[in-house]
Amino acid sequence: MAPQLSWVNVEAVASPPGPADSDLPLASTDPVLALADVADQLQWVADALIPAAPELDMPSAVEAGVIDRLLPRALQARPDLAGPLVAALADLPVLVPEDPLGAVRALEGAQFELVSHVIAGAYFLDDEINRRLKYPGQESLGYDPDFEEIEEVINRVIARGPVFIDV
Amino acid sequence: MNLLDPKIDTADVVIIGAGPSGAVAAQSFAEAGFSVVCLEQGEYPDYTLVRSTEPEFELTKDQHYGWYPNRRNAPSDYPINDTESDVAPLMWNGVGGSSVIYAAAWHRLKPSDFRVHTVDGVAADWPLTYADLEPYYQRVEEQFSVSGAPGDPAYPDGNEPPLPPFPLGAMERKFAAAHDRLGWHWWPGVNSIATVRHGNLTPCVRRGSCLWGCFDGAKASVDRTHWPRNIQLGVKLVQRARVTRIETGSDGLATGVSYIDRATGSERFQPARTVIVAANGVGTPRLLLNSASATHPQGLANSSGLVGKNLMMHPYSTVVGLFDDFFEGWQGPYGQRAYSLEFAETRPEHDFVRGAKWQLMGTGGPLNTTGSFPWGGSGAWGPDFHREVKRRFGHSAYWAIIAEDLPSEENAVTLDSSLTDADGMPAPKLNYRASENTNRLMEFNYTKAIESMKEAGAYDTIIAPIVRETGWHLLGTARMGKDPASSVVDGFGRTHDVANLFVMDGSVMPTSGAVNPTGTVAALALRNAEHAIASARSQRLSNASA
Repeated sequence: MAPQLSWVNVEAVASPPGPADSDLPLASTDPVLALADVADQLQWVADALIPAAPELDMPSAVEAGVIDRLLPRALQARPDLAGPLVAALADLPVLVPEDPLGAVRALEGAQFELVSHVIAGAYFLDDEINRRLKYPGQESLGYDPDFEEIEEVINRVIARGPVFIDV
Repeated sequence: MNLLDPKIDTADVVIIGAGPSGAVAAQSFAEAGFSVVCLEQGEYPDYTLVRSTEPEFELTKDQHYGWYPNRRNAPSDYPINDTESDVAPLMWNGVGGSSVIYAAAWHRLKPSDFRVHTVDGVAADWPLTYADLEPYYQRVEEQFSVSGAPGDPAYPDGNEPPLPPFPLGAMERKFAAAHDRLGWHWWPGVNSIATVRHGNLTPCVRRGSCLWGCFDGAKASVDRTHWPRNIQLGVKLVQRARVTRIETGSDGLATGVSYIDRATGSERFQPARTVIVAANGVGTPRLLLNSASATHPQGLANSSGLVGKNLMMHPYSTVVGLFDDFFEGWQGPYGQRAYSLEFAETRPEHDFVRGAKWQLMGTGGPLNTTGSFPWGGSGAWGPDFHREVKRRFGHSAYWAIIAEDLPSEENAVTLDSSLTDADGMPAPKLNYRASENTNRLMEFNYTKAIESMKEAGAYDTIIAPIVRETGWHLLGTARMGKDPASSVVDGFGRTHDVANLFVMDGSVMPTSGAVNPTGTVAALALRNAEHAIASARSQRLSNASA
């Protein structure tokens, strides 16, 4: 059964069209589509882009919770991307194609970038995934320079002499 | 517009643009007792939109503080036709200007950068020298809370950042040792980021969001370093004011500026005795060209025909190294951790002139391993996804190669014949191609940067040739010089054609150097503003605005 994702509606969140030379699809062409309408595509697209890698101890996108937990969170953070995501997924077949990754890659370049960026962005919201990658997030670090070390290092560079044309 | 509207005071100085050069100039004029009005098309940045403390940071960082106005498409932005440009222009339009999103890598130009024609027989000499600008560099480095190690031998004596440097990390140590073995220049990053409390800035906690707005208040963007004091000094900062024209009187002198109040859509006029344009290397020529009139049919201050020409954008490539070591490459400063100026100037054995700066950076968080920057192409997907993420994340560093860009009149900003902004003002159109000199320079630097990476222990390298969306540095489009036939402004930013009109941004740079230009832009603004103040008594004013 497809997850319930109809909480987000393209009509409500689609961005206005961008300037003529913008290369991102900023608005859905079909204002009535919602994410729930492309739930079948989302299911196979997510794992086509991010399949499981047991040998590296990494789950697939669906196993990690992208569909039911992480993507809604990602789109809450980036509601401007919901409309373009739905529009791109709507261009893909409902049933799993023979070559799923090839089918996603066949999307127009900016659409592929968008879909892959949002799916991966949702995947990397997961704490456990980040723990396995040893990514603690953007930490607040204290200021504790070793001035003696810095001095040693720069003195070696200074000892090599000037590095500029003197005019 | 109504020049005689008694409700609008004639300002001593009107400044167009609240970015670094506008802020520095405003402060100098206000401190000297001049009445100053600054018109800014955008608003103050809302730093609460920067989610650098949350897991959502990577996904949200380019939503509000993306670099490319054609994609960001904020109400304060204007469209730019860049279809005929190798490099896309980047900027942030609001109070603080592009200092809100700059890396804060802080540099002075080198002495030879002011003498390119004399030294290399190409391009142009500046009408001032390193020694002329040196005292102003020192003063703006204090204003911008610059931190770093003193004594860099890539510069003459006296280059001493006022704040102490960031600590060295594992990545920096690797490259320091590698360049020791190679005998090449290397220096810990010098950044306009406070390492200790300084002025309005709090000490950096290295969250690494420098390029997408600093929530923590440590990066020197002028909305923080300058505008609070400017307001205290009485500078009137008008937000959402899109200047469309500089107006001139029958005597050819500037009388003030027309602008659209974006809040109401109404057209207004701000009379002023002196007009200063500080709208960046694209916005400034756009405005001067759009200020054409019967007496200035080619655009204002354009008797040389050089307004908009000689656009320089610092073509930018990356050489990424992949390592077995694990670096915290997502932390700040982000930014530059270190730099090398080993190959920044001409050498007789090269088949090109001038050179490049190398800037050492980490490659960001996990999501950044899947994008195209700095990798030169999208990440791996499907069966290769996890292997590539693990290969890249934490195990990579890159040299950003910033190439000195020689001026060419074919590289230009003009007005687009059909594209306009939301207020109907013609959009700028860019024609820009990297030169053969640049291509040779880049090829050489790729080879050397790979050598550096391998010496530092990289087991593999990736080259991203000139990356399109890297036009942070917009320079040269209203170049300074002594000769009115071959330059737009004099050595103090005053236009040759209009005695009470000044340009004070990167547009005035006759050559680009190879380094990040904000230090030079700010130093020039300070020098030019103080010169204008000192010579104010002899300043010619329009009869219409006196």
